[in-house]
Amino acid sequence: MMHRALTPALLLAPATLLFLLFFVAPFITLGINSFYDYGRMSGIIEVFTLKNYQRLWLDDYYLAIIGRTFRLSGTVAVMTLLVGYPVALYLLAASARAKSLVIALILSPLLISVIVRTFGWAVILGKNGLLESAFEVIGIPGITFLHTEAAVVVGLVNVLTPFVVLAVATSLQSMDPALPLAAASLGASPLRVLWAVILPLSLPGITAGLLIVFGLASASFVTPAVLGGAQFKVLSVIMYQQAIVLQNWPFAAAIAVTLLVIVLIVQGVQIGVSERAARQAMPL
Amino acid sequence: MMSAGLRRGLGFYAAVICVLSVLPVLVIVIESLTASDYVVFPPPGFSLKWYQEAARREEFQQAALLSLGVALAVSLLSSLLGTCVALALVRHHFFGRTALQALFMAPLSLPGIVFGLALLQFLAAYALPRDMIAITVGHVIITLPFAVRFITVALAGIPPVLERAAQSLGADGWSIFWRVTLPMIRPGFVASLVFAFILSFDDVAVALFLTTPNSTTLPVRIYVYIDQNYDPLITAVSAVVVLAAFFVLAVMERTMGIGKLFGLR
Repeated sequence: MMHRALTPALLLAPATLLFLLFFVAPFITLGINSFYDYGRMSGIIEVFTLKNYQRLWLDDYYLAIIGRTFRLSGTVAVMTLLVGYPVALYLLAASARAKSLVIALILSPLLISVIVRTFGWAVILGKNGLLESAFEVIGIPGITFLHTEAAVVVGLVNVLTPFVVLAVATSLQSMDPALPLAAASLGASPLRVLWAVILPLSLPGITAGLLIVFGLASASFVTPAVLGGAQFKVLSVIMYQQAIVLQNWPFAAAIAVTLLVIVLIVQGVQIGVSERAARQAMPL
Repeated sequence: MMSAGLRRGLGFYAAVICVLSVLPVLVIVIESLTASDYVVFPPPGFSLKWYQEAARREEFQQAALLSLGVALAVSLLSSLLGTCVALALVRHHFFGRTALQALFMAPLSLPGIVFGLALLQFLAAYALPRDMIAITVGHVIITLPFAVRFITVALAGIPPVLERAAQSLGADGWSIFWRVTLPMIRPGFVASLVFAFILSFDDVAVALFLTTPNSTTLPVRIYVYIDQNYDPLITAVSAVVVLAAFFVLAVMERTMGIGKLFGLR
C-alpha cells in the first residue's frame, strides 16, 4: 500500500496542475493584458497603461453600457423572483406526483443548450412569430418585439427561472412545516400566513436567488446577443466584439476584468447575507 | 397548511410557468417540421425538407461530431479527475485542503465568458494552438466542480468502516478502491458523467473564444449561423439536439430523478 501522506498528493496532483496552468494562469494573463496598450497595426503593445480602464469607466458611451448591464440584470433578477417564487411555494403544497412533474418541467430546460432556447424565443417574438400570429387572431396586427430590451428580459427570465425556484424551494424545504400550521390554527388568514411566516422564513432563499440571477444575467452573452439584436450593447456583448471582431485584446481584457469584479462583488454580498442568515437561524 | 383555493390557484400558476418554460423548445421542434421557406409560426404546412437540408450541410455534421468527441472526452476526464479530487478531499486531512477545495469550486462562480477570453489570451501569449484539445481542457475545468460535488456527496454516504473492514481482511489499497469504494459511488459517478457531457455539449461561452474555422462546436456553429441568417434550417439542427437531450433526460429521470440531481428532495 502507498504511503499515507503520499496518497492525497498523488490524487490531487493532476487536477491541481491542470487548474494552475489553464485556470489560474489565464486569469493572470488577462489581468496583465488589461494594462497593456494596443495599436491597430502593431496589436498588443507591452507597456503599462491605465488607458483601457479610463476609456471604460470615464467615457459616457461605455458608462451607459455599464448602466444598461446593471439595469438589465436587476430587472431580470426581480422578474425572475416574481415568476419563480409562487412555483417554489406550490412545490411545498403539491402532491408528490404533481411535484415531480413540475420539477421535471422547470428544470429540464437547463439541460438544453441556451442557444436553442434563445432561438425558440426569437421564433416566438419575431416577425411572423407565435406572438404576432396569436394577436392577429384577435385582430391586433404587428405585435413583435424581437431586438428590444424587453425581448432580452423575457429570454433571460425564462433561462434563469430554474435557479430561483431551486434557491427558494431549498430554503422552504428547511422551514419547519409546523410553523405555518401553528399560525393558521391561531387564526391567521392564508395570506397573513404567507406574508408574516412563510415569506420572512424564505428570505435567505429570496436573496440567494436574486443575487445568483443577477450574477448570471450580468455575464450572459447568447441571450442579449440574439434577442437584443446588433444595436443592443451590454458588457458581455462589447467584450466579445472587442476581442473577436476588433481584435483589441487589452480593452476586451479590461471589460472582462470589470465584469468579473461586478460578479465577484455580488457573490461576496451573497455569501455575507447567507452567513448572517445562518448565524441568526442558530438557536440561542 | 394552505387553503384548497390558494393551492389550486398556485397549481394553475405553476402549470402556466411550466408551459412557458418548455414553450421555446416546443416551438423549435414544431417549426423544424415547417414546409415554408422562411420562419413563420404556426407553420403553414409540414415537411421534412429542413431536416434533409440540415443533413446536406457538412459544417453542421462536422460540428456535431466534434462536439460529441469533446463532450465524451470531457465527461470521462472530468469524472475521473473529480473522483481523485473528491477521494483526497473527503478521505484525507492535510494542509491547504480548504484552499484547494475553493480552487476546484471557483469555475462555478466565475462567468464562463470571462474564462473563455482569459484562456484565449493565455494560449495566444504562449503560442499554444486553439483546437479541440484547448476546448476539451476548458470544458474539463468548467465541469470539474460538478464532478467533485457529485462524487463527494456519494462518498459521504459510504461509512468509512466498510473500507477499514476490507483493509483488516487483507485487501490492499487498489482492491479496496475497485471492489468497495467504486461500486458504492457509482450513482455519483454516473451523474457526473452525464452532467459533464451535457455541460460540455451545450457550452457556448468558453467554446466561442477557442473555436477556429477548423474546429467549431455545434452550439457555436448554431450561434454563428443565427447571427447572420434567419431561416428554419437551424430549427431542424436544434430539434436533433433537443431529441438527444430528451433521451439523456429520460434515462436520468428513470435512474435517479432530475430533482435529486439538483438537490431537491
